Amino acid sequence: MFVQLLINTLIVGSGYGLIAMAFRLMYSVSPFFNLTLGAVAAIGAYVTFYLISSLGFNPASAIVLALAFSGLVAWSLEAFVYKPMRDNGSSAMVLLVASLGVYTIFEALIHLLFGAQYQTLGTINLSGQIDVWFAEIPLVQVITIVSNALIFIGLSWFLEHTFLGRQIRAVNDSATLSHIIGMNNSRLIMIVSVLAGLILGLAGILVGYDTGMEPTMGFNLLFKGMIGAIIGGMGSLSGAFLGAFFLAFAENLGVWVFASEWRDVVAFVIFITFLYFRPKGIFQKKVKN
Amino acid sequence: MEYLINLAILFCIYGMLALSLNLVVGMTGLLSLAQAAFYGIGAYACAIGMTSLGLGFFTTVLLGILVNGVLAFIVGKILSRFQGDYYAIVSAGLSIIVFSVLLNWKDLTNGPLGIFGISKPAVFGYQLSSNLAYLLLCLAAVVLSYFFYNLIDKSSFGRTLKAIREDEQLTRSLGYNTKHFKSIIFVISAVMSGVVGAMFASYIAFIDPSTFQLKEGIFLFTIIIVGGLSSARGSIAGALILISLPEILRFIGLPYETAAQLQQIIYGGLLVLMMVLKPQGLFGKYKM
Amino acid sequence: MKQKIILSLILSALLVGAAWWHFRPRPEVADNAKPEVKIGIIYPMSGDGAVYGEAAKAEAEMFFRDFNNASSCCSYKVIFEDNQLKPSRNAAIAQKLINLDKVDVLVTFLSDFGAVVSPLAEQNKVLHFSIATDPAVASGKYNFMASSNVEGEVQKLYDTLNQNLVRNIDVVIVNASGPQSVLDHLEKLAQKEDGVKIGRVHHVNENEKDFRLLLGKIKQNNPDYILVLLTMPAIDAFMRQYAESKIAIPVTGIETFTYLHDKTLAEGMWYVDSAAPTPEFLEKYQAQTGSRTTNDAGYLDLILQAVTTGYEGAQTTNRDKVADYILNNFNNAETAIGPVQVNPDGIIDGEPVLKIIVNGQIQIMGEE
Repeated sequence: MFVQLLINTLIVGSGYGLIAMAFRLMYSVSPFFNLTLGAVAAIGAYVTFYLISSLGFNPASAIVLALAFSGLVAWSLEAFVYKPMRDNGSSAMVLLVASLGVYTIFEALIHLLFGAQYQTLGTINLSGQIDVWFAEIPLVQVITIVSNALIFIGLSWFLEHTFLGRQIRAVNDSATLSHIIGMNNSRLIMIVSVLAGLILGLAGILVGYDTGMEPTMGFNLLFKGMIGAIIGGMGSLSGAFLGAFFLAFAENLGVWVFASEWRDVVAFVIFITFLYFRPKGIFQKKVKN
Repeated sequence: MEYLINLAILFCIYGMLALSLNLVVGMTGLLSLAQAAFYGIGAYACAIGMTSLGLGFFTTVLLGILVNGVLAFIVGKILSRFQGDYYAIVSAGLSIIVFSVLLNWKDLTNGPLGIFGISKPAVFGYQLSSNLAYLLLCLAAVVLSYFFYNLIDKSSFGRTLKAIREDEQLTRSLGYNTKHFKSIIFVISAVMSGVVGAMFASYIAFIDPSTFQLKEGIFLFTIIIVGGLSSARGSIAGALILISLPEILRFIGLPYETAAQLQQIIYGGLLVLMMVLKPQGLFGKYKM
Repeated sequence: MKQKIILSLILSALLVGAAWWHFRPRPEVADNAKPEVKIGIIYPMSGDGAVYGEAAKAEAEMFFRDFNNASSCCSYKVIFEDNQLKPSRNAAIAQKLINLDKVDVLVTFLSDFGAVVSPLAEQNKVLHFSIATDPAVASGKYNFMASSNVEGEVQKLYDTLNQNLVRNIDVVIVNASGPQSVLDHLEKLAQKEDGVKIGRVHHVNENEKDFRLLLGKIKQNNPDYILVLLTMPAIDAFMRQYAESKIAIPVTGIETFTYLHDKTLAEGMWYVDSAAPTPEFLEKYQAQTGSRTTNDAGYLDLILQAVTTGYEGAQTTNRDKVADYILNNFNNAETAIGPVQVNPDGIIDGEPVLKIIVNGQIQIMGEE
């Protein structure tokens, strides 16, 4: 049923949207395919899990702490690993490979600490469904949809109307130029990476509640978010937001028409086709490169 | 003794895979993560050819060369549109697509059940049944590959590839059809991996799609990053190091769970260390 | 340059050291009157399959703690190895066990892994027992298989569905060897016989977590029953989304609900399971190890029982004779999974059983 397809697109697309926006945000100050962002999302989920199950925190404070931790991790990685490497002259390719190494380490650590078993954050306080028009959507997903929308609106306003936001856009357009003008890049990078970390942590936690978590969850989440951001157009936040929905739609259409098992193939074929024919994304924005 | 023979065969296989990948990544500067796809297709060509079609080993190798050649040509063309890190991401995507096809196209590949009972090759009518004989075949193949690599390395073809790696626009402006060159080396590399795939399939006698995931391509990439980009010695060195690592860890006697993850942490750590300290790898000649 | 030399030296030293450590001359073990029988057991001991490996280890220790002193013929030694759930690693390890450790018996887990070892075992005349479902794994004199009796399971499901007047079913299946072989058997049976028919088959990959659209498709198709052949972790996500979708079509499975993390999601549902560990075995395991067992620990117990029966019965370390003994004398033996049948190919299996989830616990139907 087409309605089912749309609802699922909305749900899945919101999940991807969070990652896509975080990725897009991070890319503007640290322009390379940072695979560790996936690990940040996984960390958000697992820290929450640890706090609730082993240390007995209540969910609300566990989530807040986990989010803070995710932001911290995202910032530390950028400040202590990637920025120094970039300042030292490493190319985007080198950074990509380094981030792959770091991601592998994180995934193995999570595996060691929590085991390979699939875990779920449980539905203790997030069970229940909400009736929305003609369908029932589980609460977790409603939260995902709403968070995604709120974050999009919030970030867009932030980028457009605050001084900091304009600085971020300026760095995105030309890092060297903005450096010359004298903007304090490292403070900017810190704020952006913490922000991205928070969003990623949130995404991880929501996934943890909805479909559960495993040590390998980060990689796939990141890839999907990255694809969404790229096909939407790397030039803008709205590109990431809409691209994520587009990806979700294409994937689910593929599942509907063919079968679930081809889901990833559809996603990647769409990705490669888009990059091939419209490398600047669906919503092309004039980006000076 | 058999154990060492077995390990040596694995060295040969990964050494050859590393050499083939280095042609594309090290010599030409194309960051391909798709090698596992061609490795897998070569293995399946051998498996399907020998079990369902009753072909001989070397015939299936030719079959694999054909299939991989055509596929690599198409894939190479698609990839040539992209640069640097985009190339890597798209090649990763292609690897995932090929893996999904191997897994889901059950009528052709038997899906997750895999293919059993692949026999060893017969050379000039003499059936290679012992592992020692097979090792000799593999060693011969490695030596050939090594010389082949150096042949390309020292040729004018190789020089052009390196020029493309350093500055493609300039090379193009000098009149070279760079797209052509990139395409050719990509196909050569893919075909080589396919042949290795056939050797792997025949040796293990059973294959399933799980061996040919993106993870494997990333592992191969790690081998040449650590061993050295654009160097035959580096490819072999990297293979030796990364294949011995799990064996060494096993002898130390760590608990199983810890050993496996420690292995991963070491791989990851090596990647980061290499990128920070020596991006061209131990014996490499090219910095990314 | 200096860096390279130092690194190469360190590496060579490590390799040489490791080799020496392994091949070092060891003092001859004092000769007991009893000859030693070495059993190499290859399991996933790390990663996704670790839970099975741990249970297997506990089971083997438990078995031989009771057994070793009572043996009249031999002294048994068990060596565990980790295959990290990779078939190629399994082959390498089997080689090591056969050639370095000189094992007499190999035990493997799952068809993919047994398949790699069977030709090696036959070649080297080493006894090989695999907990698997594919008959090819048991081919050859030295190869045996402790099977969950897929054919029997499928027949039982088919008969039960027919008894309940089910006309057609949709199947949700994960791309893995176990479920795939179940489906193959079911398709053959449905084609041959005149009972329940298979509607649509929905394939998913192992990492699939989103079944909502799939459930929508099933709703559209409107079969009488849904047969779910999923494993961990997909099964939990599926059952949760199934409950959320409020589809009225009932669900069943083969071995499926045993994998559920949260069994209340299948409350009141029946399914077919392989011959399961008997209550006696479960109690003994719980008492001695303090934890719940996995299904296949029961199968491992059965294998160890078969091996020791063979050696004790044949009173020899000649593996030919041991294999013969097992083939001829193990039929109808009482094992951890109840009575078993041994067929001439070396396939050992038990009777599949109908189970139902009551109050979040698995119970055998008829014994609630």
